[in-house]
Amino acid sequence: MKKLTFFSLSLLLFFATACKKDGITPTPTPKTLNDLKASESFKWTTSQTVEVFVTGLPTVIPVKSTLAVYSQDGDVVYKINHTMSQDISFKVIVPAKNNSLRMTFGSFDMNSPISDQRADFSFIPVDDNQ
Amino acid sequence: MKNFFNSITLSFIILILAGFGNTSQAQLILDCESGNRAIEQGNCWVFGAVTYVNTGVINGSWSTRSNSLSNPSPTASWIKTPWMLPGTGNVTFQTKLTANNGSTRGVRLFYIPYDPSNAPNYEGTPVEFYDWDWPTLNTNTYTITAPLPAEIENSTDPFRIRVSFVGTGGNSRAIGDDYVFPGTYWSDPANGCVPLSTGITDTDGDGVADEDDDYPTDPYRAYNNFFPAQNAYGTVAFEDNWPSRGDYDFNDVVVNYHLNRVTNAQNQIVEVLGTFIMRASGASFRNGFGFQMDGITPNKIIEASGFHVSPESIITYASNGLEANQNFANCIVFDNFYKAMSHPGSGTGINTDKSAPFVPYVTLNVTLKFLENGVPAAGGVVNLTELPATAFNFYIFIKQDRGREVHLADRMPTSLVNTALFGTGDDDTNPGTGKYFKTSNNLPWGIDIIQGFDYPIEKAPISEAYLHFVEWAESSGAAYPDWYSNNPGYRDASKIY
Repeated sequence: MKKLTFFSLSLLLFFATACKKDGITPTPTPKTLNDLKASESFKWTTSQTVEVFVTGLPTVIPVKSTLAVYSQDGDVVYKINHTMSQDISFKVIVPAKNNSLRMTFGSFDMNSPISDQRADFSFIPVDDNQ
Repeated sequence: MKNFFNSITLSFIILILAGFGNTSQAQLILDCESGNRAIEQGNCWVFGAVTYVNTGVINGSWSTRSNSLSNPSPTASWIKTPWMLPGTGNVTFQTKLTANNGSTRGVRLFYIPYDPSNAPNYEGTPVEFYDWDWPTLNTNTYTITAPLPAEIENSTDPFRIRVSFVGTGGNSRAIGDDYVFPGTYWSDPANGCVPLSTGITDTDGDGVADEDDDYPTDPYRAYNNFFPAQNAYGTVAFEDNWPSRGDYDFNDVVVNYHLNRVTNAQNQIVEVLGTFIMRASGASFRNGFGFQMDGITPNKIIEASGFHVSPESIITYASNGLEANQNFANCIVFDNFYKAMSHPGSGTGINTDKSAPFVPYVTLNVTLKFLENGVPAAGGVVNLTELPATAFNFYIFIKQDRGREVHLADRMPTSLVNTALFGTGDDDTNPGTGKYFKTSNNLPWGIDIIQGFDYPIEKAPISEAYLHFVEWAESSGAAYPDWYSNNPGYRDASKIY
């Protein structure tokens, strides 16, 4: 009986300590704002600012059309009259959880991932290497 | 000649418009000097098994090169022009072989009529109008001169010209350069390279087609640029105990906002239309609310209107309706919440105590006029790129003390802030590092939820009303980016107004 008790206690002690790394105490998630230390760069908004870069295509004649940028939710967030040959950049604000933007211009309909608060579009096609 | 072409921006294709003299006419030229075939493809040239090369060229730095010409089919290796309105004269280009092997080598020229029923390329059946064969297989350079056929000369219908390289036996290829086609460029690179349309309707003549124009009959307006979205409101919510930290119920001033930057066809700001819905003030202080347009000087606004001004307002207004004595344009939307909305008679504030009567929201429609019939204010025009959504810098000023203004985290104060309050109480503002309106733990006095927000009731910290708010903040927004949503387990509804 004594042996069994000793064995049980040893087993309990083993499992109770097995998962704890030496000298490291996990930091609990603060439950209130008073316990919280936020990152200095955090802006306390549910949006993100994305800089959009559009690479123009040198064209034979001036080609103008409406350039529109859409959030991932389908909302138009930027709309201009644009000359296709021009390189432009501008900033838009979209929900923080968006991870891509869509841009239309004439029959162009393109998507770009948002990476490091940046999205890139180009009117120069990918060479199809026919 | 080649150097001249290279010296102008559009070196790869030059459109010489009629009008330089009686003898000039439009031409499409392909000299390959962009070195990037994709640019020509973007301009509606099409290449079938023809690439660009920069070795063994005929002229300049780049030429075209066909496949190995062991196929007599004219659809094996070819170049097609964009759609063009043919002129008169000769198609010309230079060509040579890469080696003198093979049995036969030649070029064939076709015109391709426009067929509106044959989407998506709208190409009819090609018609051959010229053929030429190498007299002997050698590597000499030949100049090909092919007259445009009479049946398409000066046509008002668009055509494409196809240059095909053909041959049998061996593996030598054809190099080509300095292609010249008499005619007027007539393709639309913005619309799948279909022939240019002359049927676009632009009622107000501002250069924006009616189908794209949000104001098709107004030549002074073209586009709406909404923020956060056409049918959506964002919410800003503030604590008003700055520079001391408050109770974090974020309901001392709660305002919904919706902005529309109306622009013209030149992408200049015509007006900013702001809709602000006053929702709650869980405060005993009499607070005001406004926004600065960062980087925009006040003299660029003709007139501001639609805001709420109390009879005994502490604000000094300039003649254009903006706040006076500011470096950048500031619009005070309301100078005293309690003058624009009435206290319900019970409870601490307005619309933060569920036991008190609800006070109907007050909507203020603010207009900032930048252009009047196309004419700007004395400060000149403002382009849309100068006034991105990020330029709108919302803030409150507390207890009718104009200098005691508090903005969203890290937004710059206005010229009228009392800088002596920086670094006092719990504030850890440090203009030198760009840190504004945050505590030493980087907690803010204001939050911005562009999706809109149901604010907490009086004295209920936001972290108790929204159960994942702290995780969101601690992760710098990575965890629970939708913490404000009404998902199961996200809220304690009893603590939300």
